[in-house]
Amino acid sequence: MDSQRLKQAFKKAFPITSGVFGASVVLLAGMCALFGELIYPVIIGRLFLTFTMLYFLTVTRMYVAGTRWACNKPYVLVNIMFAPLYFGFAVLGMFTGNEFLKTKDLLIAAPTFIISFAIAQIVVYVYKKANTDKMNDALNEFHKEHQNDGYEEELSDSN
Amino acid sequence: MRLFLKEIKDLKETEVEIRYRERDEEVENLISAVNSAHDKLIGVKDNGDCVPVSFTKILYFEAVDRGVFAYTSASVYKIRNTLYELEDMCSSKSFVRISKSTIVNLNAVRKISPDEGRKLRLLLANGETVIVSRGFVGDLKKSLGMKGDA
Repeated sequence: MDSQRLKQAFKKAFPITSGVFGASVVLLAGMCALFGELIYPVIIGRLFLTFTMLYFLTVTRMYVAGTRWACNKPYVLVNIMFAPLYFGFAVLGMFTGNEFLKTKDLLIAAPTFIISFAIAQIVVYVYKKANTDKMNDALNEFHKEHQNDGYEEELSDSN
Repeated sequence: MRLFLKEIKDLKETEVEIRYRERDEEVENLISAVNSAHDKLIGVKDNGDCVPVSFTKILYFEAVDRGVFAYTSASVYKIRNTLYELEDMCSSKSFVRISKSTIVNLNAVRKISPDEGRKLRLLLANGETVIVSRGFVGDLKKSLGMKGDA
């Protein structure tokens, strides 16, 4: 395990998760104010626990995204792989024991979320890929123009 | 082959003129020797040895914890110059800054692919990947001869 990368993942995931947690609290407060409901401490507690779990999941995702295997694959692959876990953690954290949550609804919501998320990710990736393909063409031209001062692989430890 | 050396005190920069009848292998070797003489910088290895490192062998420079390191496919060297100094030194050598802490050798880049947000991922000749920050995508495009707008 690469401890440096893990440390980086812990550092990077914190502002993201805490930012989304803060936004969720504001959204919850806004909704409660709109419908004249009280915010029960247990809901804040649940929200906190859910985001604690999501924080560790984000750390794991960032760690996996930094591996050589993931770096050689399209970045959306890791996002799509982790989408069901994010959904599962969020649903488990916020709705476990909730009388309004029905298994039937979940069976529809889960695939709908995962499939639409995957499609959105792939569409964005394909659009970005078209741009980088142009850059790869320009890179090939660049290599042709700079053949003489090109990169030389260092074969041994000494020069 | 005859060698002439002449000391001229008021010369701003050392000049080398090669006169030849035919551009043969000997002349090519001379050209590459002259080129490599100014295409090197001093790198410090883990054991403290100072060695000349050719720019053409460097994949990228990275600033880590107040130190600057040059990465080749086989080794990592600590460099005494700052990243700003290296940026100036390398600007004419196919190197481009891709983030606050990294300068990459474009000749060592094998593939460009998209990354999260507006960032890019560069696959290098040794299989390693480096990330282009979104603020430097325009600079990279300009270096490749494309329009600078991201």
